Amino acid sequence: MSNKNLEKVLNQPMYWVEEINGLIYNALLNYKKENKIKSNTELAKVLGISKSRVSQIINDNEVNYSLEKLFEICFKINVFPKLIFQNKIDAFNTILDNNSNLTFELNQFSNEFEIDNNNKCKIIPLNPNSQLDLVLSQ
Amino acid sequence: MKKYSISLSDKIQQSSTKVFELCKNDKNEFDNFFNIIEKEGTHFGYLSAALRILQDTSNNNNLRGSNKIRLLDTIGNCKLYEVKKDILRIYFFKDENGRIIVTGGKKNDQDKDISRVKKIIKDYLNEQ
Repeated sequence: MSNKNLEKVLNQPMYWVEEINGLIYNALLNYKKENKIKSNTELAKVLGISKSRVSQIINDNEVNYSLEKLFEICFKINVFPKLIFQNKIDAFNTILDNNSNLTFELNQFSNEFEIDNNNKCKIIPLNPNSQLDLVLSQ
Repeated sequence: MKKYSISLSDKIQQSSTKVFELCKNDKNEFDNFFNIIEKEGTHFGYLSAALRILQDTSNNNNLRGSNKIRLLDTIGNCKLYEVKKDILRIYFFKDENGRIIVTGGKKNDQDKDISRVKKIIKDYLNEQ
């Protein structure tokens, strides 16, 4: 499986901005649930921001705040933000290891097949030690 | 031989729920869409963000209730969803394998794309 597409995606700033959008969205929903806050109006009062801003985060899932303002919101919902800078190559290799393992596990059969004289089609397992063997009749 | 197959997506980080891409006659429409948007350049960031949304929702039910993922329809026992980021859309459905991306599209082509995706899913289900 090619790694190039994932690498292209991971090198887009918007990919990582979306991570922040998702984190703050989940954190706000958890806070609402834990504190039994029913409306966005009530949540806006707690956060000290306008209702339209709360709607922007909850409904549109867009944060669009300065870091400082974002951190202020975090404190009000009882969380500390934690930003980690990870070596790109190390991070990427870890991701690929996970994805590669999954690929091997799930895609056990190649796209190649053999046809015998009885016109039976046998799909070749990628792992020669595999006991799985698919035979299809054409 | 079957027309449809699925391959593990090479565009997201896989997690608890697997994400696949649908191929018809060995042609992967989403891969084609990805390449076009990447080549165009302008909206590739949005596509990457949309993939992030799909990835996050495949991981322990994050982004529950977010408007960025919309249930469009139920076809047979499959639910068709749309991921939205700016003008870009990703269309996927859920089945017993996990999430299967059918294709991507732009906001202006939404109605046409959704109609076509529904037909593809019905065709895929008929083949199973």
